[in-house]
This record gives sequence, C-alpha cells and structure tokens, in this order.
Amino acid sequence: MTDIFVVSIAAILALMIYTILYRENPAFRLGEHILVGATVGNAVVQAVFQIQNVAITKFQKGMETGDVTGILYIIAIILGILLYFQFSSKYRYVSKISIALMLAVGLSLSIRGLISVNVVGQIIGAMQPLNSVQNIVYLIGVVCVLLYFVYEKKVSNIIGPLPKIGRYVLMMTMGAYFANVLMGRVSLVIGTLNDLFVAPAYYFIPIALLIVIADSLSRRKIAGKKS
Amino acid sequence: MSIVFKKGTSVVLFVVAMIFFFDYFWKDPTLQGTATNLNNWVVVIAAFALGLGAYSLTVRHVQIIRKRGMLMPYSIALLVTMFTFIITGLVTHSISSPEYSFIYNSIIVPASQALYGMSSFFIASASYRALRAKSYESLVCLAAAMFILFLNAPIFGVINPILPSLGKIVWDTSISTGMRAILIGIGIGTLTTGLRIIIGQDKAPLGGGD
Amino acid sequence: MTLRESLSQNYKPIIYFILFVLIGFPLLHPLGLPLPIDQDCRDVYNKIESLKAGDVAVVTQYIGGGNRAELYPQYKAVLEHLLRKDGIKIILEEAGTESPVFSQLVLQELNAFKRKTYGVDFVDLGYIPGDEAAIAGLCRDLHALVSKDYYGTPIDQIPMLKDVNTAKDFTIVVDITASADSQFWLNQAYAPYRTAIALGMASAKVPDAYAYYKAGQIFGILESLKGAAQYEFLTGSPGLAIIGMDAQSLAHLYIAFLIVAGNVAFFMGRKKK
Repeated sequence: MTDIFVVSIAAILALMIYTILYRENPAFRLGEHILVGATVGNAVVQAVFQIQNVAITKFQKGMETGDVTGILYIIAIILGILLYFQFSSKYRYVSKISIALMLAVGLSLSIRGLISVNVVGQIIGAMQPLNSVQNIVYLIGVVCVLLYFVYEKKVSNIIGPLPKIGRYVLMMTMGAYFANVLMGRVSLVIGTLNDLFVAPAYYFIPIALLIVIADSLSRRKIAGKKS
Repeated sequence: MSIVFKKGTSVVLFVVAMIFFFDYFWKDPTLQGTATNLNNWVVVIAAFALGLGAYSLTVRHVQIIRKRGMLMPYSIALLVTMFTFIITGLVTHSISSPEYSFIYNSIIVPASQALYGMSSFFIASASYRALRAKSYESLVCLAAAMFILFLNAPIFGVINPILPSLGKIVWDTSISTGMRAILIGIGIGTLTTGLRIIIGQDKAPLGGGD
Repeated sequence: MTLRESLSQNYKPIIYFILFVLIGFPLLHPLGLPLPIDQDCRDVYNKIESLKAGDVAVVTQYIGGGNRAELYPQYKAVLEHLLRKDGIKIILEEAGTESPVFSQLVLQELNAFKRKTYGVDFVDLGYIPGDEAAIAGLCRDLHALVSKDYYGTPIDQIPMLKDVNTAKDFTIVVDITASADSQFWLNQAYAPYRTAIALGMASAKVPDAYAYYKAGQIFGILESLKGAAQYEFLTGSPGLAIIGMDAQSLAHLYIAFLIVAGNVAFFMGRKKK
C-alpha cells in the first residue's frame, strides 16, 4: 500500500516538473520549491547525525577516558557553531576563523595531490615515446592547447599558428563533452520514464496530457477572442 | 577584537597549510597526529556548514511569506517540506526508517531526476535550432560531437561498423590532447591561486580586505 | 500561416514528443541491440575478478536523485560482482547527503545480509561530510575519523576493520560519482599511496576520468549508463542499464538527425537569400 503512494506521489511530482516543457506554470514552480525544501531538509538531517557521530561521540568518549584528542573535539564543535556568525552583519568576522581552517585544509590537500596527479601524471602521460603517429599527434596537441591557454592570439612568428591549432583541439574536446552530457541527460529521462511506466504511475500520464491540451486550447480561445 | 580575528584568520590559514605541506614530506608522528586531528575537525565543521543553507533559506522565505506576495504559497510549500524532512529524520533517528524512506523516495528521487533530465529535451530543440556550424571552430565542435554520438550509441555500430571506430579515434584524440592540457592547466591554476590565498596575497575567499 | 511557418514556430512540442516516444518505446519493447564492451569497463571487471580472499575493496558513491539513473546501475552491478566473490572485505562509504539511502537500497535489492555476514564481509561506514578532507581522513587513518558505522556500531567492534587503517590497506577503491570526489580520491589515495582506483562516472565527468585512465593513474572506468550496461552484461546480471541502452541509441540517432537537419535547413536558407 505504501509503495502505491510512493509511486503515485513520485509520478505526480515528476509530471509537475515536466510541465515546464509546455510552459512556465505554477505546477512546475511548486514542484521545484518542494524539491529545494526536501533537499535542504535532508542535508540538515544528515548534518545532525554526522555531528553526533563524528564530534559529540568522540568528545564524550574523550571526557570518559581522559583522551585529549577526543576532548579537543569541543574546539571543532565551537568552530562549527562560529560559522553561523556569517549571518550577523556586526560579528561576521568571527565566522572567518572556521572558514580559514576549512580553506587551509582544503587548499593544502588539493595542492599536494593535484601537482602529482594532474600536472606530473598528465605530463608523463603525454610524453610517450614518439614511435607512432598517434603519440606525435597527441604530444603536439597538448603543447598547442597549452600554448593557446598562454597566448590567445598570435604573438610571434616562432609560435605561429600553434595556439590556433590548440583552439581547434579545444573545440573538439568541447564537442566530446557535449555528446557525453547528452548521454547523461538522456539517462535521467530513461530513469524517470522507467518509474512512470509502472502501475499506478502510468495512469497519471494521460491525465497530465489532457490538462496540458485543455490549457493550450483555452489559451488559444482567449487569444482568439482578444484579437 | 575584530582586528585580532581578522589578523588571526590569515595566520591560521598559513600555519595550518604549512602543517599539511610539511606533513606530506616529513613522516613525523606529532605532525601527522596534528594534521589528522585538524583534518577531522574540518569534517565536523563541514557538517555544521550543511545547516547554513537551511538557515538562509528559512530567513529568505519567511520574509516572502510576511510580505504575502504572489510567491507566498511556494515559500510555504518549501518550508513545510523542509521541516517535514527535518522532523521526520530527527524523530525516527534514522534515514532508513520506513517514514523517512517514504518521503525521500516520493519526493527527492523523482523530482531531482525529472529536473535534471528535462534538459535533454532542451538539448534536442537546441540541436535543431541553435547548434549551427557558422564558423570553422563550431564546425569542428559539432563534427566531434557527432563522432562521439556514433561511439556512445550501439545503434551506429549496427548501421555501419566504421562509425564507432571513427568515434573512438576522435574520442582518444580529444581526451589525449585537449583534456590532458585542461587537467594540467587546472593543476597549475589551483597551485598558483592556492598559494596566493595561503600567503595572504588574495583575500577574496575570506571576504576581502581583511 | 503556411505549414512551414507553423512548423518553424511550433517545432518544440513536436521535437519533445518525438524524443519522448523514442526514449519510451524501447523501455516497453526492448530492441535487443548489440552492446560492444569497452576496454576500460573490461579492465574494471578483470581487476575485481582477480581479487583474492582477504583483499579490501572500498566502494564509495555520491549518488543522488539527479544522477541515480546513471550511477545506481553501476553501483549495483559492481556490488553484485563483489558479493559473488568469497573472502573480499567490502567497505561502503557515501560522499553525498542523499547517498546513504541508495546504499541501503542496493543492500536490500542484492540480499546482501543473507548472502554475506555484516561486519565480517562488508560494512557500511555511512555518509562522511567534508569532501576532500573526509577522503584524506579515511586514507590517512580510518579509525581516527570514523567512530561508528551507519548502524551505530562502534568501529572497533567490527571484525573486518581491525587490520584496515590507511589507504595502504585498501586493495582497490571504486568511486561511483558525478562530482569532484573522483579527483579527491586520486589526490589522497593514488598520489601518496598508489592505491588502485577505478571510477564509475556520470557522463559529463567521463572525459576527465578517461585522461587519468590513459595516463595509467586509474585502472578502469564505468562510463555512465553505457558502462553500467556493459558491466551488467559481463557479470550476467541484466538490469535497467541494458534496456536503457536501446533508448540511448534511438535518442542519439534522433539528436544526430536534428543536428544535421538543422544545419542543412540553415545553409539552404542562407543560399536562397
């Protein structure tokens, strides 16, 4: 019985959102707002459970056993609460200490890894033995794109047309991105339709279509009367 | 007091970043312990940060409801949904409880799937009206996209086996050249921007002018 | 208004309707198109197939409502493969606020609790916030970061995690995501510890992953729904992904037709002028 309700509500919500394909309308707006509220509510629930599991449990354990590392989690809890001073115009500067800590950890972790993975790793990947046309083309392509990033326009005869070749290579990569994004978006439609082609969800499809057709005809009638 | 905080944030940023940099190269147990603790503290702060959006959203939409404008019903729906999720989750103490699963599976999954998926329809109409090969660059872009379409969909292999092979060549070339250069650029860009922020030359992420 | 003018102004509903039909029809009546297997998918399968008893497989996911259709079939197929093997220690971890629900769903659908013993063969660590900091914490010292699993059991009471402390103890990591945490796992697990990583990606992130694959930094990729379908085929557990590839084929054919038709119409119109 619960499943029937889940499927029905899911179908109605999905169709409400799909009405945007027809035109901007209150049903779509309502569905959108419900989704935003649900997503944020879910995030809050997760946050509460995580604060309990990661911080409060460790702090309590630290207090019981006298473990300093656990007791120091109170600092993390206080820093987390200080984040909310962002909403105070007078004391906003208090939240910056928490932001600074997050920034410091995040940046240093990223930089440590990115140099090795993105820079060195990819350069090694590009510097393959030049014993095939493929490898030569790949190396020239990488160099051309990097030159395009540095020199957008022709600056010297030595570099010449290489940045322009880099631009074309980038266009090719963008085309590949577009094709992949399309595949991803179609997958989501497949998922939605798969959920709609299940009883009792599929009963809502003709109802939604009838509402859209009725609205379209009534708007044409009104437009016809006005003219 | 505010000056102490403002100066302090730059010091904290620098010192913590240095701890992590040295930790990467020096296998010192004290340093590693400190870095691990700081890392775990950030995980806790990140959990608190999840609630910032809820607070901000509540304030904004309560203002809209107070004004009793046209958008009032939508704001009410948003807040009711948000608090329903929060109360259900906290009362049942679990996100896998039947009640929470009910509201999660009926609302979040279908709505977000539909919202993201409908862009494929917009891509379809844009493919007909907007994607024009008006210049050589756009021609290259569209041609590459077509070849990757041949690669991604099995039906093109049925139409002619050479189509996916051509797609593979374009795919390998675009990734091994363009994508590789983009990743190198991201690495170098993150390094330079990150170092500027850590040494205090760029104060924008901390609100600027501190 | 002529038919041409009417079509020119009202083309959108027609395009949407045809796309809807082309995607919906194969879901009701599968076409059974052949499915070639990509080498990057096969590499993931072969690596998991080569795992021995005692190996630790970390499967982390960032599945949400907005990418469920692409990523959930990958997650299910990979877990099905891992659950078939004896003696593998499977650690599940979630990186997104919506992700824990999908872990619970997949464990139910695959009947994991009856097939294997929780705490001995698999464990769910739950959602850990913090993005790169969370992953760094897991790789550096799992026991220091996580005190309880998803069900509230203290970590030190879970037998399979006794000898699992850092990323050095992870045999493989399979990250199923549409987000930047693929980069984070490379930064925090591959760069310092050289952990073997495979990525199950949403389609928009596949180009990034493929560059890492070509450079030998990851051992395989599951490319969106296509990768999920290929993995389902390799493991002999057909599901939504294989059926969905027929719909993908028709949609792609249609989009290719629209691009060509639109450009032909544009250039013919320009010629007349």
